[in-house]
Amino acid sequence: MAKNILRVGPSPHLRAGAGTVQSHYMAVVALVPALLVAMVQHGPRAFLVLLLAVVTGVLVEALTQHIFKQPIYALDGHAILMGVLFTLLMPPSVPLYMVVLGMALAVVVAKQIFGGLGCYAFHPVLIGYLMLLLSWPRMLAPIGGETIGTGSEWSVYAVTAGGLFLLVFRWINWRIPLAFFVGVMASGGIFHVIYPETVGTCLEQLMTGHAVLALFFLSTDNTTSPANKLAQVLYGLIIGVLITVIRVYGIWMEVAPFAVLLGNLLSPLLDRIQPKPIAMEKNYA
Amino acid sequence: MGWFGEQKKRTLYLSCEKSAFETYLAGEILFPLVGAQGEILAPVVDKGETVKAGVVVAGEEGCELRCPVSGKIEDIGGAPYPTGLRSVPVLRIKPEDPETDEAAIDPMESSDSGELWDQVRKAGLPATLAGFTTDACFPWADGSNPQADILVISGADIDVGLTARVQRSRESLDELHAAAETVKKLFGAGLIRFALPKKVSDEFKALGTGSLELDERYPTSMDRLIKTAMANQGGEGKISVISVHLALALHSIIAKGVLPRFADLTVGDRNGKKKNLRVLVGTRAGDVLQHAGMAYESGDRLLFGGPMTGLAQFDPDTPVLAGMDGLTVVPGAEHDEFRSRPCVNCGACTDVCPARLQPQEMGRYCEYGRYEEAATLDYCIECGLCTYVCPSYRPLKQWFTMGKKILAKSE
Repeated sequence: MAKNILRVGPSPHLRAGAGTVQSHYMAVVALVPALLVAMVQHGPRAFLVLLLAVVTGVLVEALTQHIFKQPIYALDGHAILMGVLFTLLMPPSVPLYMVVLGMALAVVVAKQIFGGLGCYAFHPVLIGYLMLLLSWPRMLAPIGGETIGTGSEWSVYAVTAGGLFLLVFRWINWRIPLAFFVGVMASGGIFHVIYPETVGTCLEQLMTGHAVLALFFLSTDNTTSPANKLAQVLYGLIIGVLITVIRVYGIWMEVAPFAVLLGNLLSPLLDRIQPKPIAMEKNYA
Repeated sequence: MGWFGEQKKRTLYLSCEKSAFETYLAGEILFPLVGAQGEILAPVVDKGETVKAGVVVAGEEGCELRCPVSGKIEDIGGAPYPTGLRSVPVLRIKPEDPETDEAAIDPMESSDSGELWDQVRKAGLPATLAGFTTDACFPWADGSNPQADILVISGADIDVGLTARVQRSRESLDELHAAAETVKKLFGAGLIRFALPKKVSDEFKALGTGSLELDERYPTSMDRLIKTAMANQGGEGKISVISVHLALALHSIIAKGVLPRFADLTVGDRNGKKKNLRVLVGTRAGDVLQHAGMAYESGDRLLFGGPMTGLAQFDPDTPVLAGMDGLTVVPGAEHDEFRSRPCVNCGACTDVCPARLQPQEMGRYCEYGRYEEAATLDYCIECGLCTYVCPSYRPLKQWFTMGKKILAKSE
């Protein structure tokens, strides 16, 4: 009988199992309720935008990875997640060529040129969205400001349900959403006291626009958020406060993308707040 | 792999359940002729000779190797060595009467730490005890005498799933008491503490010296973390940690002149079944598995130690060394090859790091060979938790180990 052949390798010989691929697909699954609500409210056009965004994302990613001579990981779920998030940010009336353009910009300029997953400095979906918004403000932010992801309060509930699902099963970090929530509530409350006529209550701050989507899905993007505990709390707080600050003093209808991007900007800096290694505290030699 | 429970396994727990040792006396053992620093020693005995336990079988004055088992030397041949060497010279011995204690060397009498160490060294023991890798004790072959203000005897198993240390502490409670006195003298320590898992510390009240209770989370029982825990409890001065097995071995040598002949192993099969076995030093790993009724399949990993820190073996003929505490089979499916995707900065590694390091940052430096810039590399205790939890399957611990070696070499 032939001897069984052993495999060797350095320790550790176990792995916890959950990979980035699963977490991307989990986030997509968590956004399914929000997509269903969007389709009920905006009809087949929402589905068309979604399909176009996802297909463009995957194809462009595969193509760039091929051109950049990288292993092709276009189906690792991240491009699909980007497509879903991008769809939710678009207004229902968006021209379809703009969806293709926006997604292509997001994947190539904001993600792959930086080195792909794990290397980009800013959330690629938001960069793609803002490139379109700043170039064609009328088309991307029509009067009324409605988007596929924000039809009614039901969209917010659906996104919240998905976000809580990710939180409960620990697919996303809990510190950032919690600090984000506290930041929005606290600053929203303060602004409501200062300008009771023009600024809504803190709950309204959270229910308006894409604040909840930013809370659960945009700000918790691993690559653009800090890795350390205290830094994560500060990051969440800062974005939460920025949401209300930009809403009160800014000119844009949709504030979440700006707030998250500014948070992304601070993320590497915040990550310098690190605990001291145990061995450095005392000398145990 | 389920999809929902995955994230919950991030914390690994140490086990400390009762599981009595069963003695297994192999019909044949392989005794490697390797010194304390991995040097190959020339045999001074011949094929066909019968050796008594404790006689010098290899090496020369100052670097002698004693075989702890008596028996007939069937052959002097080659066998694989646990550190990964393909073939080192070994004595193939048919053990005789391995159950009876035979005083091999004169018991040592002295109350002075330095004198005791000199006697231990003169008896040629650094090589014989080389399997007990503890930084408290090694390198002691270089002529220095290990000293400690506080000596912690750890009865807590280091790796996941192993119970050899805690079970040995249970079964040798009385002897442990005497061993504590002996090593206290040997290390010139002012204070002795037993490090034990919190869950079972009640069982060890009889030890009397007071214990250091450890959390049952991996890797709290690693030497560096035990020192940290001790220092946090107000321990002043130099703290050293030795395993309960090394304490008993030193006691047996110093007080009785008997060399440690047995290794306590927690043997774990590919389905997670565990069994505690007491085997002769030099027993082939394959024989141990066979005796325990455990099998492995192609693609599995056969480890000396536990799944988090164990050394993978390529050959089941590799002999067990003194001081080893486990023999684990990990199914190949548990561990697909590392695919090393880029770090997504999720923070899982820094979240679990017991040394409070930034494995994600260190990993990025090490990936591209910039070891010097990974400044905190020295503080890594190589527990492997970062690698265990990494969702991008990055070989972090492997990079750190390599980086440390390369930095040490360049100095």
